[in-house]
Order: sequence, then C-alpha cells, then structure tokens
Amino acid sequence: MLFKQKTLILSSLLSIITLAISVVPVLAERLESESYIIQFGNFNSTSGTKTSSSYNLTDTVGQTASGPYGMYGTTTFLGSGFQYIYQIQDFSFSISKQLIDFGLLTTDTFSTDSHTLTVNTRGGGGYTVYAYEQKPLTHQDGSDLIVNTNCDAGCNYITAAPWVTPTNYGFGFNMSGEDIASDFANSTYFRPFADNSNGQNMSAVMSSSDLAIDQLSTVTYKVSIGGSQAAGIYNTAVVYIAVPGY
Amino acid sequence: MFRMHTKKSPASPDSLLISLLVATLITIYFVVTRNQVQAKTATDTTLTLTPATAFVLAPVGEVVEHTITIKNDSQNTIQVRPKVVDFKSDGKSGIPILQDNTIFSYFTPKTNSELSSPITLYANQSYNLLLEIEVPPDSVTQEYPLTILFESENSSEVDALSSGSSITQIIGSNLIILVANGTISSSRITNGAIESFKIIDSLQSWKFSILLENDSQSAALASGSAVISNVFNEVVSRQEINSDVVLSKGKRYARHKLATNEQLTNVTFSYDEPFLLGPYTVALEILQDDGSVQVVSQKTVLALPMSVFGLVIIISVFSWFRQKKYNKEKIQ
Repeated sequence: MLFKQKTLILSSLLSIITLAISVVPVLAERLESESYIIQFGNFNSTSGTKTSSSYNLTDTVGQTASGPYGMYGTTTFLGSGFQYIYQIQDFSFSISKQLIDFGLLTTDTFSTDSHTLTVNTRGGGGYTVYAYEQKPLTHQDGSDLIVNTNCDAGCNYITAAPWVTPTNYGFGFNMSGEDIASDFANSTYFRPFADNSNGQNMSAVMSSSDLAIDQLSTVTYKVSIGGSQAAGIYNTAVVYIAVPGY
Repeated sequence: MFRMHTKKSPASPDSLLISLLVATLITIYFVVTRNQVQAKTATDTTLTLTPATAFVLAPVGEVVEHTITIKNDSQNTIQVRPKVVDFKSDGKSGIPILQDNTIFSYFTPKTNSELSSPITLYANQSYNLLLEIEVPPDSVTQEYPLTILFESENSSEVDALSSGSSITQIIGSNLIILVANGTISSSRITNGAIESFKIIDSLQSWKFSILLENDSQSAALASGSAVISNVFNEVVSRQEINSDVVLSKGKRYARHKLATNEQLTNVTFSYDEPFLLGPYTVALEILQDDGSVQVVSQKTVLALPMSVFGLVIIISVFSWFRQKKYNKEKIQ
C-alpha cells in the first residue's frame, strides 16, 4: 500500500514536471531575440495573384519585395501575407504618475520630483517620445511666472547643460535611463521644456530607431526661485507624446 | 512508542514526497504566471495601441475600413480623446514628424463624429475605433501619412496648496493611406545616394551609407542588397538591406538587414578586409516584382595604402631633417 502511494505521488510529480517543461510559448512566424526581430519573416512557400471578375487577391508568400500596400491596379483590394505585417504590432506607453508635486517652494533651494516613462514596441521602426509644456510655471492668479531654466551657463529646450547652482533660478528637467536624448550627459544636465505658449516645437526626450522592450527612463523635474518671486502656488502642464516609427 | 515515532517522524519519505509535490506546484505556478506579473502602481497609466503602423489602400469611390484598438492597461479608468494629424518624414529615418492638423478629408461623417468624442476606458478594457474612409471618385492619387493620437484626459488635479505640474499622456498610431485613382504601378526604390569618400585607406574598413529615395506615388519597401565588387568584377561582399518603408516622394537611410546580436540602428555599411587595393564598386540592387534585381545606383572608390604613404612621408621628412642636421654639425 505504502509502495503504491509513493509510486502514485512520484508519478504525479514526474508528470507535472514533464508538463511544465513542455509548456513553452509558441509564436508562429516570428523570429526574434532580445535584440532583434525579423520583421518580415514568414515560412510560406508560394506567391501570386488570384483574380476573378470582381476581386483581386494578393498573397505575398515567401517573397521579400512587395510594397507595403500589396498589389495595385485593381479597384478592389484584399491583402494577405506580410504586406499586413505592420498591423500586428502593439505599441505601449506608460507614465508612472500624472502629477508632479514640488510642495511649497523655498528660495535659493532646489525642489525636485520625478516619474518614469516606459515604452514597448515590437516594430523595427522604433519610436519617439516628444515633450512640451503648455506654459512656464505660472502663479495661480497669473500675476507672475517662474522662468524656464537657463542652467548655469546657458541651455535651451533642445540642448541640456549642467545646472547645479540653486541661485540660477528657473524650471527644467533631466532625463536618465534608456533611449534618452544624448544631451543629458549625466544627472546634472538639465534643459527647459519646449514652451508651447511661446511657439516652440516639442522636442524629443526618448527615441530609438529599433524595437523597444520595456525601455524605461526617469524624468526629474527641478525648480528654484529667488527672494523676489511672488508668493503663491505655481502650476503648469507637461505633455508627452509617444509615436511609433514606421 | 516505536510506531508513534515512525508515523510522526518529520523526515519520513511520505512527508518528503508530499512537501516536494507542494513545492513543485507552487514553483510551477510562479513560473507559469511570471510573465503576467507587472509592477504597477495605482498611479501608473499605460496605454497600448494596435496596430503601431498600418498601410491602407483606399481606391476612389469605395469605402475602406481600418480599426485601431486602444487598451487601458492601468488600474484606473482613463478617458482618451482621439485626434488625427499629418506627419512628415524627417528624410533620414522612419521617425514621424507630427504636424498640428491634417489635410486628409475623406473620413466618413460617422468616423468624424467618433473622432470628436472622448472614449472612456475602464481598467484593463480595450476599445476598437473603427475608421471609415470614403474617397470621392474624382480624387487624385496621393499618399497621406497620418498619426491617430489618443490624448488621456488628466484626472489628477494639481494640489491647490503645492506648486507642480499635471502630466498629459498622448500615444499615437501611424496610418498611411494611399488614395488610389486607377491603376498604380508597383512602387520601388528609384534611387539611392551612396555616401562615401572617393579614396579610402587600404588598411581600414570601407564605410558607406545609402540614402534611399522613392519617387513613386506610394510607399515602397527597400528590399535589396548592397553588392561590393573588386577590380576584377568579382563580387566580394553582399550586404542585405532591411525591408524598411520609404514613403512616397520620401527618403531614408538604408539599414542593415537583421543579423544576430546586431541592432537595426546602424545605417553605416562596412566592408572589412585586411588589405584593400584598387577600385571597388558598390551597387545598390533593388528587388523587383518579378524576382529580378535592378541596379538603381552605384559608386566606385579607390583603395590606396594612404596610411603607409603617410608613414613613409613622415619617416622621410624626419630622416631628411636629421640628415640635414647631421651635415650641418659635420661642416661645423
């Protein structure tokens, strides 16, 4: 009896382990590793145009030269095959929090807050994340504003520069992590956001021309004010736009 | 006594087997579910779009449909507002340069109505936005690169007692529409400017880049190869080009076709040999519909041992000065 129980338990254990080992994700017609994905991989073996008086069907099977729309020359189009490969890709964009809170601002002192941006795209075209502010940090009654930072020795919304002196007043941000703009050399490099109210075009803060898997960056916001700044609460709105490449 | 001791022993084989079974089940549970676990906080806002990019053929006089799925992968309800804008190519890569508005005017009234309404997405819920395109019969053939943006309306109000900023999140799906009036010839890369020095050093690798051009009416795939041949017309290297899309009337740099452990970001092609000598030609071969290849551009460079020449010149100059100094000292 005891032997039977042991055999039963041991058999169950072995069956479960075998099942667990054999359960692996299956991705049809998809060749990839952590660093690449074969965008137009398919394993089919025929190609051609199938026509009737009312339709024209193209199947781009096994070839590598068809245009992205497939075949032309008909008024009705029905495509299959890799001309639609682009349509199976996901693109996701995540922001860790929707509110930046500096608390009460103190003169000649840096106030900071941060959040993360995460991007996923399986497309070989990559992606870009743009950012801009609706306006500079503005007093709640509109009477005053905190200027966008000029850093310690000059920076702008395209080029970051070191900003470590709190008596150089202003509002700016730093980026760290993956796929960030190259001008953010280290954690002391800041730049102001492109100011939409001033007609400035949004600027790229993250970008890659390759696929992205959980590409994560941290945005650190920083502000400092002087003694002449009007007392009160200052607010703005920062916008992030993530678009896939093609 | 003996029986009791045997039954209650913590080290009995039965207990061990059962413990092992339970531990195995727990381990398997975590292994199987590990991919579904994501570190998310209540403040995370994640939006996912499918497809990232789509190409839609819209023959005149017909109604064509395209669906974009937007999913809220967050734990909170999000309201998003769609907006259509044009994009332009940067002329170098596949990164879209967004414009403020769109000139595309062939969405049906039903679609325009949908595009002007906010979409409420509950946690882990998705929504299919159906776009209907109806092109009037007299429209001209033209390609329209669009991005459909989804702007999340921020529910986090700025604290009335704190300075700070609200964050707005926008995600886009590219939609390239080809309005087709009549027969459109198959699109192909029509030219490729090969950028390289005309004279290269024999002891260094030959690096060049290819700026692809598409003069046709519709987007084209860059399927082909950069074929390098030597002075004897022997093919010494064939480097495949990744099948990137070049928009109508657009340009972009060719990229290497995917290779193991290589990323696609490299737009510089390279030919490495221990010693290059004489003329080398690179031909840009583009695959045609019938399976043949067409050379759309080529460039010849001359490989010379310039670093050796340079070294010889430096040594000669140095020797000359030394000899001159020696002669001067000898005369004195």
